Amino acid sequence: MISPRNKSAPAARDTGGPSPTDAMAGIALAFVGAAFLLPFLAPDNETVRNFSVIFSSIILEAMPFMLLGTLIGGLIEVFVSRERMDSLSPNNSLASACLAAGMGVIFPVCECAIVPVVRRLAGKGLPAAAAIAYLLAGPMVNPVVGFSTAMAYNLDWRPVVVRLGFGYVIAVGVALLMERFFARSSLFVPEIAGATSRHAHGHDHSHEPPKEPQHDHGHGCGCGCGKTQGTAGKMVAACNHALDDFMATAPFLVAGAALATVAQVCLERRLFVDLASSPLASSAVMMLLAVLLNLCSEADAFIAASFQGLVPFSAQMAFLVIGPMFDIKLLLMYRNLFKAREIPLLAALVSIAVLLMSALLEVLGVGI
Amino acid sequence: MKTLIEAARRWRLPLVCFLWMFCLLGLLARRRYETFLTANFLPILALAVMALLPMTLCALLRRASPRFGAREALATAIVLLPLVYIRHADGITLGASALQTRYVGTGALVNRNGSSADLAVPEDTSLLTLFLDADKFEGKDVTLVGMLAKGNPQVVELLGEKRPLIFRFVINCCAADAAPIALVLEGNVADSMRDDDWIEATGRFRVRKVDRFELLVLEEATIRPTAAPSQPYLYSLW
Repeated sequence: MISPRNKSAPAARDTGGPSPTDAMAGIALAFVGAAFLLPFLAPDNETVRNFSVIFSSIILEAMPFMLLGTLIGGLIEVFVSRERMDSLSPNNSLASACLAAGMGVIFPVCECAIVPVVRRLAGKGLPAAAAIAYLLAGPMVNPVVGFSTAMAYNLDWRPVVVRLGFGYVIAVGVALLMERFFARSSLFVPEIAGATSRHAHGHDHSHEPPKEPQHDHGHGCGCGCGKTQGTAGKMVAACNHALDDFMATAPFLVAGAALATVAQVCLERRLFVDLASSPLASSAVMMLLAVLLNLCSEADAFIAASFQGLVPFSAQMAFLVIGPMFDIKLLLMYRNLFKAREIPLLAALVSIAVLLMSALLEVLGVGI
Repeated sequence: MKTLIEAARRWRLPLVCFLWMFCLLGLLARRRYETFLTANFLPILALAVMALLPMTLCALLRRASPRFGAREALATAIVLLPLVYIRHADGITLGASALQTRYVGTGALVNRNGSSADLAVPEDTSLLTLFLDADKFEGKDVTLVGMLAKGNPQVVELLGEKRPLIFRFVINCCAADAAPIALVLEGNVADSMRDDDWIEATGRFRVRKVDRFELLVLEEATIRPTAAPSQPYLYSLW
């Protein structure tokens, strides 16, 4: 029998006594309670009806991928040892980030599924640069997104090359900068930060003595699944990890989807066109739109293409590159991976890089 | 109270998994998911159910959670919240109010230079066909089926007067990315007609350039009510 994950949670969590966080949760619970009642209190209100359709759509589009992502994460946790992870990762950060950013070509994972997968990979000691590069590039630099972008732009290869090429470069660049700015322990949440690799400390973690009583040699979750014998037992352990990850990630997905839906229901898209007075302003506005709309990376190209003639090509590309890297939903889901104070920096670095890309496209006169 | 907390510790995870699995199965069994998603999502949703099944069994077999406090209650409530909205959204279609927030002039789909020949479209998707082959239909008489919007602020801004529109939403992936194809109707709408009513409009098709925007227009349009099609949305080729 597998016990739940929370071995490294604060002591207050185990005492059963109320904490300030519990009080905050109580207040949030009251808001969620009100949200439960809304469809019953105003079933015919047009805004509530639109909210229901769009919120349900975002959730139903994302939830299956997130579920599959948690299951893949669970399988990684149980079947991939840290030694194996270390042996698979190149020795230097640049090489590992470059390799990881291109992994989407072989393992295309959408943005909703990638968070639990990267959470488990990072927990296994995948170098921070590689984890971030895969997180940012995986949902964009893959054949599915390339094909959908080509379809949206009438099989024109230029948007595909610009999107996937710049997406790859930005993901690698931001990942290397994040690794340079932060020690692993201050970057990731405690459950993940504890898992070090030989790249992070110059030695192989698997030869260190366990730091915690439950620490599992070669399997970093601390639940004992590494000692589980037999394929059936390991599959059960993988499902238990998937269940824990589902309960840890899904609240952020739902909260992000709700915020995105509010933006979709309330904001008029033509206002964004009106605000786009210059190429750089257009890019900034389109980036903001991508963050607010939370579109799937396989469908966003169709929306970007609908702005042809209204905003410059560089702004359409800014929309397409930033969307899979972060939006409201992802920013909240990243809370399950990164410490809260590092997320704004990640968002700022990505935003600056995308704006620079947009300016470069303008200078080079690339367009369709 | 203690009994309730004990029950929550033991049953919240199986309950969450079971309710989500039940919801997805219900959407699959009645093809209700097409209210929100394209038909392509059938295998993805089926896979999600297959992933939830062992997770539900594991939730049933594992020990009770060590505690159940406000945080655990909050997480559970948030994960279950969408189920209420999915139930509420049953049978609701995006309409004129969604058109107002999404309309950016051109009708805003995609392949303005594409061809309807690329699409395997059912017969009631003539609005999409028209949009994709706009040049081919320019100046010709067409008949379209869509929803009615009795006015739109952007059209008023561009044309200086209130005009009705016929529109449908095109979905690429899910209703969140639904983009409207809308035609301005130059014709009279009966007072009895309301926003979101299904109409059949016949008239001469034109593409008009107003400032930066392209407006699709149906001149000398005759407008009459019609039955809603079996599928309110149109689907892109992706």
